[in-house]
Formats: sequence, C-alpha cells, structure tokens
Amino acid sequence: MNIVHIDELESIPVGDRGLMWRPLRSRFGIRAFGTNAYTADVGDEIVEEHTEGTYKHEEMYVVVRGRATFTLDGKQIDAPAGTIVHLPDPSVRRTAVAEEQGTTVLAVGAKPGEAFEPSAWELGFRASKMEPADAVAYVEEHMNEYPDMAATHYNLACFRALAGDRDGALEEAQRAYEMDSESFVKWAENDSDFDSIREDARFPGS
Amino acid sequence: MTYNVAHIDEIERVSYLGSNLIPVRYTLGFRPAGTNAWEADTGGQLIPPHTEDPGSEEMYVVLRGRATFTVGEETADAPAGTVVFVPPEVFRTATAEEDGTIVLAVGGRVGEPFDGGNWDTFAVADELRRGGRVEEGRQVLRKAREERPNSWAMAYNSGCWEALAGNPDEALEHLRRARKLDANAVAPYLAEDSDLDPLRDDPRFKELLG
Repeated sequence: MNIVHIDELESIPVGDRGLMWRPLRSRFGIRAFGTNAYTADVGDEIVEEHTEGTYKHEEMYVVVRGRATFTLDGKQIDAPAGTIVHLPDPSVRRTAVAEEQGTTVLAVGAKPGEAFEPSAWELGFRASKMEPADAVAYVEEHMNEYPDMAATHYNLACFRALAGDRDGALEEAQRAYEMDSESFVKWAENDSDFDSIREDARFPGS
Repeated sequence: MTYNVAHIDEIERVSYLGSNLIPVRYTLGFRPAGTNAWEADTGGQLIPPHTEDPGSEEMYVVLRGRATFTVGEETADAPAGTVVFVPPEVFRTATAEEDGTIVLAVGGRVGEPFDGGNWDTFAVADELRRGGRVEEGRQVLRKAREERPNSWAMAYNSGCWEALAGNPDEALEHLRRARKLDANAVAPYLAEDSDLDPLRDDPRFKELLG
C-alpha cells in the first residue's frame, strides 16, 4: 500500500522562517493534482508568502494539526485544525504562521480547466538544500518530469555556477533568458549565485 | 469574494452510499480536483467500497481520529496525519477506529482538467430532497446545470433526481437531454440505474432506451 504519515515525509527547510516542506506529491508520483504538506513550530512560517501569479493555481489549504494564523491580502484569519482555506483567486497574497508546536497544513492545487502539470519549484526547493554538484545532478536527472520553465533553467544555471561549471552555467542562463528575459533580469539582479560568472561577456543581458 | 474559509465541522453532512459525506468541493466551489471528506464513528464506514476509472488518481488524508484502510488485498492502520495514495482501478475502502474520524479524499484524472463534481452535487441535492427540502435540492441541480450546460452527467443526475422526486415529465426531459449530449456514456446507466425504476414502465422511457 502507498501509505505514509506526514511526519515520516522528508523535511526540507524553505526560506529562513522555520517552514518545513514535506514533499507529498513527489513521494507518490501523483500527476492528477498538486499536493504538499508543511509543518512548523510556534511562530514559524507554515505557508510561505506568495501569490499564484506564476502558476495560476487555485489552492486549498487544510489545517491537519495544531493551529495557524493565515494572512490573506493583509487580513488575518484564525485557523484551528479542521479549517479549510480556499483561494480561487491566484492574485491573493497568502501566508500563514503556526500557533502551536507541530502544526501541519496540507495544500492542494491546480489550474482550473487545465490538465495538471507538476510545479517546477519542487525541483528548485529540493535541490537548493544539496551540495552544488549534487544539485546539478539532481536537477539534470529530474527536470524532464516537470514542464520546461525558465525558472528550472535559471536554477540549474545557479547550481552549475556554484559547482564551478562556468560554461554550463552560462549555457543554462542563456536558455532561461531566452525563455523569459524579464524574469531573468529581475531574479539575477542580486543573486550571489552568479557572482563567479556575472562579469563574463557571455552573461545574458550584460 | 476573493477567498473562502470554512471549518470542516460546519459543513452540512450528507448520507451517501452508506457513508457520511462532507461535501467540501461543493460547499467551497473548489475547481481543480475532486475534494470530499467522510466521517464515521467507531466501526462505521468512511470511504464507500469502490474502484476508480483508469486514469483517476486518489489520495486520502486522515484528518482526525483513526481509520483502517483496505486497498487491494492489503489493510493498514491509519492514525490522524496518515496519507494513502491509491492508483486507478484498485479497490479501496476505509472504516473508522475512533468516534468522529474524518478522512479527506482528493482525486483527479491524469492529463485531463478536473471535470467531476457530478456525484457529490447529486448527493447534496438528494439529501435535501429526502429531508423534504425539495425546492432547495432542485435549485442545487439547476445551478450546477447552468454552470456546466454540456455535462451529460449533470443532466442525467437531474433526471434521476426528478424520477426519485416523482416527476416523470421533468425526469424524462433531463434524460433526453443527457442522451443527446452523450448517448454512449449515458446508455449503461439508463439500462441499470435503480434511481430510474419509477420510470421503467413508462412508454416514454422505453422509447428513450431505444
């Protein structure tokens, strides 16, 4: 049986506010919808502040354990276990903080009216906690499981730059730039991952 | 409204196939996936025994209490926080091991936009009908048909609902519409569904069966 307790899922720290991502979709290879779990302790972030501007997903968050305070477009909502927060509008800025130890939130989402495709951020989040060489290998191995997005090529460029692969990094940076130059410039502006290649004449936009 | 917030205990329960359904998707209007919960006390049935069609993936999350899952030939203990993933075409059911156990179910079809929401809308409308809130139940289905005018299943379910409500004229009208939308899909249901038994002696129904 494909069975797991959320507490047994891998724990991958995201950001610097205590949020732990517990990868659920990838654990079972689910392809019909997006789903992940998150855990955090008192005062820690349990839903990273974001909008769904990139993926346009309609989301549902379910508080499985503990208690959270959601902030939706600046409005605070108390959410004890059993609360369901539904966000049909991708532009709503959303975040949540845990109010009890071991608070657990389940997220479900996809873009309405379209076949679901796994979100490329899963790849970047996971790889970002690895040594650069391992991250390069991981992204290269798994990127074909995700839609081809500028962000994936951008992340791969970062990992290659950190791993000392100048030519490979520039190649991926160029691809990301060609796919979405506006985002590339914005992301790259203050990204120290590129410090070793930023002065190269081949660096996109330079 | 830019967002909806509900507590699972506030959502009106619906009896369906021997289980106690919490119609999450219907209540919130969630569009990306089928999303419902099941509630039972110790020994009670949570997930009605069933398999899903090819391509339909389903995930179950124990939100409260404790359940025993049966998937294929295997059984497993599932305390709150447990997640069970069931691939298409595999038998599954679950029973509660504690009072007030709740299991959330999320499902969809691989490579297709979510296009379900028929059976749970029918379940809500049928609960209202059985509780004597007939006009409210009819309104639930009317709204669903307006939202999805080309759904044969919604037309078909409306036919079943009117048949059960004792309105053969309306029932036949919905069933004709369902047949027009997708004759192949509707045929096996027309032939066997016990919801339509009140119509089976009606010559107009026999004509519909062809």
